Amino acid sequence: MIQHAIFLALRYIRSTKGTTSLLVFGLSIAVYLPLFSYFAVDAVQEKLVERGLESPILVGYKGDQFDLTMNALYFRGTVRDSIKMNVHEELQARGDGISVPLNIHHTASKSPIVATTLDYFAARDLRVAEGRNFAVIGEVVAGSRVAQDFHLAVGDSIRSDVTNLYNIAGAYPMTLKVVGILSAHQNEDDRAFFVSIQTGWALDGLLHGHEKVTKENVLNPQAKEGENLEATAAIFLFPEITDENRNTFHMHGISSQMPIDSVLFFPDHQKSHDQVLGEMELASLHHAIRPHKVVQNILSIVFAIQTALHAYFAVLCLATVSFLGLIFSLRYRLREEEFVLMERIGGAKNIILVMLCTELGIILIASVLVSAMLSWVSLSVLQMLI
Amino acid sequence: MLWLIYLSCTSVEKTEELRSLKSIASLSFPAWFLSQSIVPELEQSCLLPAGEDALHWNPAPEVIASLGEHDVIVGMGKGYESWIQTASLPSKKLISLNDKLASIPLKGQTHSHGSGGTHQHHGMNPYVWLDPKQYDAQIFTLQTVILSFPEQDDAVIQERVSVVHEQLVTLSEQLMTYKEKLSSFVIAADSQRFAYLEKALELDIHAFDFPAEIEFRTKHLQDFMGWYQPETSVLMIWSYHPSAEIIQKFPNSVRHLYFDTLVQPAENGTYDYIQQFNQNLTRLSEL
Repeated sequence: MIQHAIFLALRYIRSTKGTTSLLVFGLSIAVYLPLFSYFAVDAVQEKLVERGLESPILVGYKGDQFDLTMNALYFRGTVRDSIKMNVHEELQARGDGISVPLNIHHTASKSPIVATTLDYFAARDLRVAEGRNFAVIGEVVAGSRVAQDFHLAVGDSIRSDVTNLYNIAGAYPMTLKVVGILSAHQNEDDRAFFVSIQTGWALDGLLHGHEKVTKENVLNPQAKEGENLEATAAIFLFPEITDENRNTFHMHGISSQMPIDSVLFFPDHQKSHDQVLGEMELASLHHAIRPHKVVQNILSIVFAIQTALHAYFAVLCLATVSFLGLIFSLRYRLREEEFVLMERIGGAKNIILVMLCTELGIILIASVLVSAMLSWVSLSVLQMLI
Repeated sequence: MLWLIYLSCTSVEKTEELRSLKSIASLSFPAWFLSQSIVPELEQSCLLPAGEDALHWNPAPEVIASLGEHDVIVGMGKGYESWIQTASLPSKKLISLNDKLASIPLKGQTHSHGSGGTHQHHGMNPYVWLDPKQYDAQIFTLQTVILSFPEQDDAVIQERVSVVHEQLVTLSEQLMTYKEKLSSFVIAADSQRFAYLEKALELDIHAFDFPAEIEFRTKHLQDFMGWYQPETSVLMIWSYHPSAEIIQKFPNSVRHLYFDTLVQPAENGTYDYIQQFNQNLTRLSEL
């Protein structure tokens, strides 16, 4: 008998495809929204906390901890003030951890260019899948995602973006040679280009190569031999670092005084971790922060939003259930004559009830399946975006 | 949330990978000598080709990248292997032997030698090894690094280090015996390379900025003559063997001394600091 009720329910659903689909869709959205928000917050939290915990100490100019963390860990935004390279050198000289300088304020086709040292790859456990790591200035290693997006292969070139269109005296875009592509790591590193810290300074214009300064292109051609020749601003700066001109690239100043955005410090043990934090408290211009604490602060805002969203979704669900009840009661009334006829031809009342429950069950199951599928697709997209 | 709390409570300590020492790459000959003196059984290589000046030689990017395959990379530092300043090397593997020693700044001078063309020297004087006492300090720096690797035979390494240490102490003592003799001269040198020798012997050496012999011009001689005091015994120290032709250009009263700066292997093609420094002492004795 129940089989007959199910048969009738399926027949009815087939005969009302439009309204049933609409019901399934409405119910799916009502289930999807809280389901997705729950898993999305979890995914974001996992990603953010993971990155934060993998970066025990971050040193930067005293100021906004949020900007510093977003820049150094997630390659987003810029830091307002830089620190000197000697901060990194002093941390490195301690010998009880890995110190990694970072300069992240250039882009190539809007993808971040991370200027750092080879220690970054060791500390983050990044592996080169194709080619090799950068060895000299002018070389770049592409993250797996960015290489895929721009169809890059070893031997190709990329060009850095113009930093300031209106500053003609500023640094020019440079062409960098791709020498390696990283394997996928499912994090921010996949979406960035990596260059040496010196290449970063070259992008800033602090380390540069130019045509030979001769008496023909100087401001003081009357200078005697041994005297300093003052080059004009019109001197041709090399826009690309090649094997031929690499040796001519030079810095005006010493490397320890060059600017960097931040320093990541990976201590060997808890003692050095605590010591560095303590010592940095005494510094006047820079400070050390624990990125996962900053991330937790960000997450506390996310949690507050999530709580508000849960309340909102609860109300939404209540409204949806009420509408569903209304729709079903209306459907029952519309089909009242049909049920009377069924009773007259011998259909038991409980069979009609089973038929109605089956209809409702099919709609609910379909809605849950659709919302689960939507959530899965949305989470996959989110995983790619964060 | 529980996951967050669990991760937050995880210690920052990382499991130390078991490091093994199988190969050492040296970036210049003085570094190579110390390295192979301590652990000759390991795979040892010197990156600098014979005949090249470490201050101006640049290895190919592929060669630099391959250096990461070695367990330790030993350089003299203080800007001697100048290409390091624009190259990327794993900092945990790179040892600069000069860095902990007191520095003597270089005076900015424009000149030309080797394959580097016309250039200017800045920064610190890297020729620390011309003072055997300073060079001796460097072997202990390297010993500390090598002993930080597990599976190293401490007793054997310490014995080897003490052998080289004794030889260097002897060289230093022998060098000091020439202090009085050298004090009787007014000394000049063709370059700033002898600054640490000057400091060790407490001498006053006037450093010129002379190029390689092939590029030696009249203006360089004029520089010398501007400094030269005819009534004094002048000793001119050269970082290369000056030919009879170039010696003839100088006043007859000027004595000339070739002092090997120990940056390249000897004429027989092998680099042996002890032997080459002893030859320097022999030359000093012949003054």
